Amino acid sequence: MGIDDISPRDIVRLAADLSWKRWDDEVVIHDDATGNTHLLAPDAAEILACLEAAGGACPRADLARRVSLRLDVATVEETEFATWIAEILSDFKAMDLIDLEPAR
Amino acid sequence: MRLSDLSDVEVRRRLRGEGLTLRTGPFVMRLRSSLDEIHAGVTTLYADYPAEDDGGFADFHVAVAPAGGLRAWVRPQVAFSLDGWSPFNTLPRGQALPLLEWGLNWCANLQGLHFLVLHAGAIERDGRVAILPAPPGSGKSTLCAGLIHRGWRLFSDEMALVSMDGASLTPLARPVSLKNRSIDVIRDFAPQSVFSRPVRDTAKGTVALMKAPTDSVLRKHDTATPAWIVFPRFEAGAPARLTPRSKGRTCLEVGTNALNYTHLGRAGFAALTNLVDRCDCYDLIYSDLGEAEKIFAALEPPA
Repeated sequence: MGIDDISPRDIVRLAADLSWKRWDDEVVIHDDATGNTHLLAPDAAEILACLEAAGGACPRADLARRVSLRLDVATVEETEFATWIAEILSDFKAMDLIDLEPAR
Repeated sequence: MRLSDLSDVEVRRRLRGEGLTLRTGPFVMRLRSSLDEIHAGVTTLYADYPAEDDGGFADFHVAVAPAGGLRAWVRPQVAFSLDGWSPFNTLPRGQALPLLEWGLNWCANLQGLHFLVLHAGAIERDGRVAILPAPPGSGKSTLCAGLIHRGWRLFSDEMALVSMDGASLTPLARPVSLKNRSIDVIRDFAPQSVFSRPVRDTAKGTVALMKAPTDSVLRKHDTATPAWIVFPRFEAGAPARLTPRSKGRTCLEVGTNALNYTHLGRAGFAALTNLVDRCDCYDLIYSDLGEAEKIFAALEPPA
């Protein structure tokens, strides 16, 4: 399933067991399951943080709402924000940090 | 007792018999070899190292011995072994000494599981360590070899041993492996330096091993605090230039240069991030050792 194929109700699930380190405008995460380390922009890292705060899984629309609240992006156009989230989730999927599941 | 306190006959007897037991940093190795190349290299390069009594504990039992079969006679080759197991291909006999050093690096990595082991040089001054992680060909060993003749203590040319809390480094001062033009660069920069006989046509070109300074060898228990992480890059003709680099990028690249980072898992990540937290991080471009020396002399302790 590609990121463009899922609906807002589909589930984004954290596939990684994360350790975190933040330095000003950089976030480094370590996936304890795979041993991989990634350098993220802080805004992108907030998506994973929101997913963790949601218990590791939530619908895509819910995740987007949580992220928008966390980043205070009310002034950003909705479609632009949705595109940004989709791109980041696509990257995270390629990095094996998340899984995507169709809603039941 | 240092190796230099043993007679030449006794060194040879131990090498050919039960083994010559030497302490290098936190590790004790027992070495056996009948090869004159190893005898000559060890007596030159390891003269200052503590020679332990026969029969005591050793972390590694290693040997460099003539390869068997046809290779004993036709273009003779030698094999490195650990506990009787040969992990590497055999090499021409003339490369016996570099093979020993490469093998010992490999052993230290195997045994260094209570450290985060970085593929990096490390030098110390006033209790603070500068870590020099870099890929081969970056000028790391040349820089290390130069600076340890200008007031810095050698911690390691190849492997920085970081404590698992990221707060200290343990010295592993062993001979510095120099290649090709770097050999003459250091001979000119530090004429007092002592070298093994250069070995030509290795996989890395011509290799010569430089004896670690006596003070660095004797202070084997003096750990120190990480203060700087500097990524050196030799660039012919370039003026020396030090530029800050972000901690995130540093963390990622140092992790890439760590030999056992993946194996350590979450503990390795904690050690790595704690280490980077404590350090100021830089990129260094240099072509002239004297200029690089001035830059290192001006490094301020992290705030």
